Amino acid sequence: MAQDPLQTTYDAVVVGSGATGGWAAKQLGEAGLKVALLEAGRAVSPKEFTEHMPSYKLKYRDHSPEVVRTRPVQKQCYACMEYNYEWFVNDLENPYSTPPGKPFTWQRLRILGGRSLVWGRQSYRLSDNDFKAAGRDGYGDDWPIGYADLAPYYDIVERYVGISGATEGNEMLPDGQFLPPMKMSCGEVQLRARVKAKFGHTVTIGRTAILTQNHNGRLACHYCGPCERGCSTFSYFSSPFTTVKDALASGNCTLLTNAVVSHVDMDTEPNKTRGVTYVDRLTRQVKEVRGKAVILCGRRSAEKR
Amino acid sequence: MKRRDLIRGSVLAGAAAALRPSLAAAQSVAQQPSELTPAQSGVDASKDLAAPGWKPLFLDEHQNETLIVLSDLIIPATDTPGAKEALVNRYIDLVLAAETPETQRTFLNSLGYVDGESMRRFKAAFRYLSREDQDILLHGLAYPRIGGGWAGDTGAVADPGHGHFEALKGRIMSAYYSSQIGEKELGWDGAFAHGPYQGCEHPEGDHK
Repeated sequence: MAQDPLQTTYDAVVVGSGATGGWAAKQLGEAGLKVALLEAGRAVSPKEFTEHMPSYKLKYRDHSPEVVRTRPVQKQCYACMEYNYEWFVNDLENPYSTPPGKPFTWQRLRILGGRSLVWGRQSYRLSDNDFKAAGRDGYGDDWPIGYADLAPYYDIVERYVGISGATEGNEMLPDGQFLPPMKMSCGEVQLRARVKAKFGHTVTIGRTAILTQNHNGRLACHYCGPCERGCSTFSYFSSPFTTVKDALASGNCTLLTNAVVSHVDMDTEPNKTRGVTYVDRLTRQVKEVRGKAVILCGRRSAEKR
Repeated sequence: MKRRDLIRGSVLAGAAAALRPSLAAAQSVAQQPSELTPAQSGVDASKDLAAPGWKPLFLDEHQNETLIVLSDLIIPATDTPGAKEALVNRYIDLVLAAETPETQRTFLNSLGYVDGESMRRFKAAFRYLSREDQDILLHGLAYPRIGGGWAGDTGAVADPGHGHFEALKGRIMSAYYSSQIGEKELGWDGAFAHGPYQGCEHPEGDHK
């Protein structure tokens, strides 16, 4: 592992350490492949989590002009706040444009784990109602895969992540490998019963990547509320403390932080890659990481494909 | 001479003691690793507004004093501390200092309206009125005047006084209830975790 990452040819270069990149690095690393995991932001520590800090301890009690000034786009999502705005890109330094009349709020983070630190955590299986929708309503195309193809992978992810939810047997939302569901209030129980009786529809509790019991070395949720500021008990799923941790523990994964990938380098042989070029965010040096395969898991790359 | 030295010495020691926490805070800010928010690096700003020698950043002295009087009338101390003790004027000043000129102007217009009404009706600025006159003036602003009085009359006159009062009250309320005193007043006990959520505990089908 003491090898210079810039002198190594990896089996795979994974770009982005969020929900997807973390999984790619874990699966490949644990399978014995040599992986380089590149993250544009810095590493993250549980010491910087602020979920238990009352807002009167903040200078502006969560009305910081610094957030308004530097994160005009990011703060359109509630998750970007005076507590944690440094996790999000500075919009003044990372501008983008959209076609006229097609605005798009582009949430971007610059931190190990990316948006998995601040995501909404609701976790549902798609069904054949989604995969084969075009066949029914005539819009778009059916997917080339169906639910049966994906179901075993949903199982793997759910067992590892820990999704709390209720088994319903409803074909719109296939059941999964659930931890016990969060309880419904009296009003919700009533609503569920009436909707079922009057309309025949199912009202179910949200299926969410928040633990209702201890799971895989992480503690059950203590219901404090503001997950987006980090979780000191790791009760919601975020990649740095799960998949990325496992990838590094495999001994086969090298993590490069502050590595902003600029492009995929193509080989002289057609349709072959030889790795990626990145800019070191702190030194501005341009570097190359060589790999036999490149897996793009970053939001920027995902949206440009 | 000796006595004076003693007094000066004690004043300086007091000032040094008072400065110490803020110096410590300043150092921790200087040493914090970059790319952490103040909150993420553990800075507690809750005592900043109570710092000795506090001076308003945006309001002038008269505006600040007027705001203190107004906030004390709107949320007075009862068996718990009120808006004045919660230093809502200082928080409002801090926020306004960072606001847009338009928002700043809107606030000063509202504050100025109260003083204008006070001058018109009582020939003195609001902060100098008797408590009774202050109450009379605010009661007049607190409820909207509505039109000609006939039911269904939609020709209600715009009531700027009520609008200004509501704007000031809103600022004072949100400043108060976001303070530590205000959070306590709302019933927060200082606990963050609420333990397992029990949900509905009625037996199946028995919701009486």
